[in-house]
Amino acid sequence: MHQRLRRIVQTIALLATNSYFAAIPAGSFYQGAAKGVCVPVLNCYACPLAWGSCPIGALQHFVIVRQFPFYVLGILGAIGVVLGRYPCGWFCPFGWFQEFVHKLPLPKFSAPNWLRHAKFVVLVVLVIAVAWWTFEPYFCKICPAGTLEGGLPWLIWKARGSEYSEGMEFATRVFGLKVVVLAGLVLLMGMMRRPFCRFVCPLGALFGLTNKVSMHRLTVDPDLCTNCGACAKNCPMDLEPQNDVGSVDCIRCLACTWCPAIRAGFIFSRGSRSRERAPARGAGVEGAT
Amino acid sequence: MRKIIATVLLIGFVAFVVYGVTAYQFDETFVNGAMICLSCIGVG
Repeated sequence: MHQRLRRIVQTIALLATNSYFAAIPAGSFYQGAAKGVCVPVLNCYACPLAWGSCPIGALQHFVIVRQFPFYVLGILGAIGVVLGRYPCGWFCPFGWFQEFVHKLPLPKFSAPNWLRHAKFVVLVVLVIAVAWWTFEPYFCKICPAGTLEGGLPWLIWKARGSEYSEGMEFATRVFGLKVVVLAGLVLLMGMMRRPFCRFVCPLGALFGLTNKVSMHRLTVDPDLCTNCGACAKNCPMDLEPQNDVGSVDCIRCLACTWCPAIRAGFIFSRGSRSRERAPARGAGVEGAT
Repeated sequence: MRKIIATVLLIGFVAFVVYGVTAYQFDETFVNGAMICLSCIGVG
């Protein structure tokens, strides 16, 4: 039920962020006032159909112009404090794309858990430090979402003779690198679940920090949990919800909430007596689900 | 306790947004976003 609803919400979010269809016949892109609004998902503002701005692109811009990003961090923080990493699981078009590609019939495997920390390195080093030192948005230069949503559409716009693409030269090392990064990642998406969200996404890293304090949270009822591990098998982030239900990597997709032991809700809602700590391993009834 | 922390953080972040808007950061984001991001496309 949750997952069918999530697919619908993801589709609506995709259209809500990228539906400036007037750009298609005109070979143009949206330049109106909504571009001042940072969307809470990784959505390239170079996409001709995009209404809003990418928060990571805007964050790098404020680093480059030497302003503390009150506006960007305020939007992301306010949404994160209410919803945690919920936007990653329900609204992000690039997350939806990864889940779509993962359905391809390719060999499936997982990756070591310590690689999850890499997204924090990407956030601190590539998004903040490198932008500060070089005055260039280097994350954007390799961002696969930018290639998919911005680079490739603009290649098509240029082929169609768009006046806005005059002077764009696509036979560059940067564009070649972007295409290689996207192609490699698409291959990985087919073989493992949400690799970009798990190991790379700096926006996911920011939202993940709010998971521990967010008003929306998941709880495990230790009286009902049998530690059967079925929730872990369902988790698109390869987490073990029964052991770390408030993980910074949890995208709040609610796939684990089919189990009656795991509940989703807001901290202000009544009747929530479940605890966030996990029950001890083996504490439940063996074999029960 | 979590309710208090979350509420204080929410108020703080909303204050960030308000201050950012008064400091013309909405306009800065708009101008930046309304240009073609050549880095995003891979041609700049």
